[in-house]
Order: sequence, then structure tokens, then C-alpha cells
Amino acid sequence: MVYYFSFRVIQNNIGDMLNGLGLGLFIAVISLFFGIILGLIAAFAAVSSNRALNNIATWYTAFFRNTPLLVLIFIVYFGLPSVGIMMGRNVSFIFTLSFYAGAYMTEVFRAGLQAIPKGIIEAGQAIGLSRFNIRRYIQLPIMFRYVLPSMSNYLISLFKDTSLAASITVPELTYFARKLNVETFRVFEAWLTAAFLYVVTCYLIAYLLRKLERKLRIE
Amino acid sequence: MNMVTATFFAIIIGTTLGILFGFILCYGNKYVKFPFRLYVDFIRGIPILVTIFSIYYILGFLLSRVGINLTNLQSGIIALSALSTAQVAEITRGALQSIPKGQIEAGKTIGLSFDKIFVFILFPQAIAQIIPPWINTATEMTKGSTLLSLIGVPELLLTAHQLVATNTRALLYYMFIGLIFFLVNTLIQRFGKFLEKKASF
Repeated sequence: MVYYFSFRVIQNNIGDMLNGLGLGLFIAVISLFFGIILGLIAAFAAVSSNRALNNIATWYTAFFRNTPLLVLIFIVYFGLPSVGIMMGRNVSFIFTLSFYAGAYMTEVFRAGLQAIPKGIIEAGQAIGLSRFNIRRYIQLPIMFRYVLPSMSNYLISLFKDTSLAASITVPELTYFARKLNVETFRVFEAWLTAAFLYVVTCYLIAYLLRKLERKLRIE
Repeated sequence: MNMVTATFFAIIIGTTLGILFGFILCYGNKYVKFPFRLYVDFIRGIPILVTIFSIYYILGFLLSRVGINLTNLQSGIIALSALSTAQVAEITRGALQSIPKGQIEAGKTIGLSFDKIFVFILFPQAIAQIIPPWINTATEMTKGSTLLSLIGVPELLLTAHQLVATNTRALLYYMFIGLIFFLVNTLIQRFGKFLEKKASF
């Protein structure tokens, strides 16, 4: 069995692949950002005393966590235009991924909020802070320290989910790997390079985020 | 129907091999651990889609030189099983490591050999720890089976996709499919809570 491993192919396409990698990182960070906003709103809704808000938040989380991401992507990109909402490829993917990230962030933030001792909140009420100020000055900073490890874990997971963008032809790393594979039939070079790039990037992100955690842990 | 087959086999094979790998990762010596560690970290570091495509193309290429032709479904099952093995291995390793060392020592004091210790003492305690993340893995496998539609396995999502191409009611079909997946996964989660209750007296 003879297979001529060719570096030329990798050399010619590495630019495209790195561009795709950068786009993937960009999408992951933006979706995480919007997801955090959505997650904060939904987390406060989930722990509030309002029954209706509780239910809405729970259903939001359950729906977006239990449905496959690919189905969600197709609903938004292929399905929504038939009711008149049209978005470009990149925008629709970021839209979908933000809601998806928001559902997971809700769980993380909810756990963080519930871990704050009640005494601290009562102290804030004793000083006379309004409910909004309590959230802003007491709950958020404490919760932030708690959720940072989970969030960094989740950023890596989100980055790997961006590879699904290739299914709606967003020019992402997986898309270029597949294009390379289909055009040149060089299976090993295409997919091993893509896998290698993903693993290295994930390790880098994990390493950087761990350093960030260590820095922020010292009060 | 293929969705169920793929998920089912992937979960079964993945869990069996995964527990075995996890055991090796926890109790093996340095040299035995190394290839398994590499495998688990590699598979967990690349996206599911890349795993599926890689196994489909690379394994298909290698095996076709030898003369075996894999169907799309078989490559998909192999890919999903590889993924679930890696995840279950991590879960098992974590669960086994979290059992206090005293338990093993107590078993040795009574005079049990190591395999008896494992079966009667360690494993029952580990099961309670393994079940919640394992349900998570089962959910991910169900969601991963939708990705198999991208390599042409005739499963639920691909069928919906084809129906959409012949119709204008795209949104309805996809939302219906989404609802089905949502219900299936919710059922799996309920089942998991039931197992948890049974596992912790």
C-alpha cells in the first residue's frame, strides 16, 4: 500500500485554514459574550420569586440544551426566512450559538447565584441598597469568581462547536479541511492538520485561561 | 430509525470500552497509561464533526485499500463510539479516583484479591458517581447522531432536510424535528434522574 504524503498541499492551504481558525475563535468569543448577557438575564429570572419568569427561564434552558445544535442552526438559517426573518450565514450562526451558549451560561450562573450565602444579601438590604444595586455590587462580583472556571471550560467547548458552521458553509476551519479533502483526496493531510490545529488551539486557550484564573484567585 | 441504531450502538460500545479505558487510566502504570491518555485527550480536543469526517475519510481510505468497504452508518457508529469511549473513560477515571483509598485498604485487610475488591467495593460506589455525567454523554450522543447526516447517513435530520427541499414549509419541518429531539433527550434526562435515585440509598 503506497501513499505519497505531500507537504505541498498543506503549505498551499495553510493560509486559508488559519483564517478559518481565526474566524472560529472570533465567532466563539462573540457568541460567548452574547451568551453571557442572555445567561445573566435568564439566571436572575430563574432564581426570582416570580413563578412565570422561573418557568420561562427553565424552558429556555431545557430547550436549547436538549436540542442538537445542528437542528438549531438549520431552524435559524433555513427555517426563519420562510417567516420573513433573513440573516446572512455568519450572523445566523452567531445568533444560534449565542442562544445555545446562553442556555448553558444560565445553568452556570444560576449555580453561582445560589451559592452566595444569604447573609451577605441581607447585609446589603440592611444598608439600604435597592434590589438592582444589590445585584450589581454584591451578587455579580462574588458570582464572577465562582463561575470563571466553568466559563473558561465552556469557551473551549464553544470553540469546538463552531466547527458546525461548516454545515452552512461559513468559511471556517472544518469547511476548509473538507474542501481540501474533497478537492485533492489527500485525506491524511487535510484532516490531521485540522485536528492538530484544533487540539493546539484548545490547549493554548486552556493554558491561558488557567493562568488568568490563578491571577484572579488572589484577593 | 437509523438515528436510534447509531445512538444505541455508540452508547453501548462506548460505555463498555470507556469503563475499561477509565480503569486502565486510573490504575495503570506510566507506560500503559500513555497511549490511552493520548487517545482520550486527542479525541476530546477536536470537534465532534472533525472526528466524524476524519474517521469516515481516513478509515474508509485505509480499509478500502485492504478491500473492506464501510457503509456510512458503520463509519458513523465507529466515530461516535470512539467519542463516547473517550468521555466515559474520563468520567470513570474521575469516579474511581474520588473513592477514598481507605476502601481499598479495608478490602485488603479482609483478604480480598484485587479483582474481588474492584467488583464488590469500588465499582458500586463508582456507579453512583458515574451516572449523572454518563446521562450527559448519552444526551450528547443523541445530539451527535444528527451530525451523521453530514456524511450521508439516512437519519432523521437528513430526511427532514430532503423534505424541506421539496416543500416551502421549512420552518415547520425543522421545528418538528427539533421537538422530537427535545422530547427524546428530556426522556433520557428523566431516566437519568430515576437511575440516580436508585443508585443512592
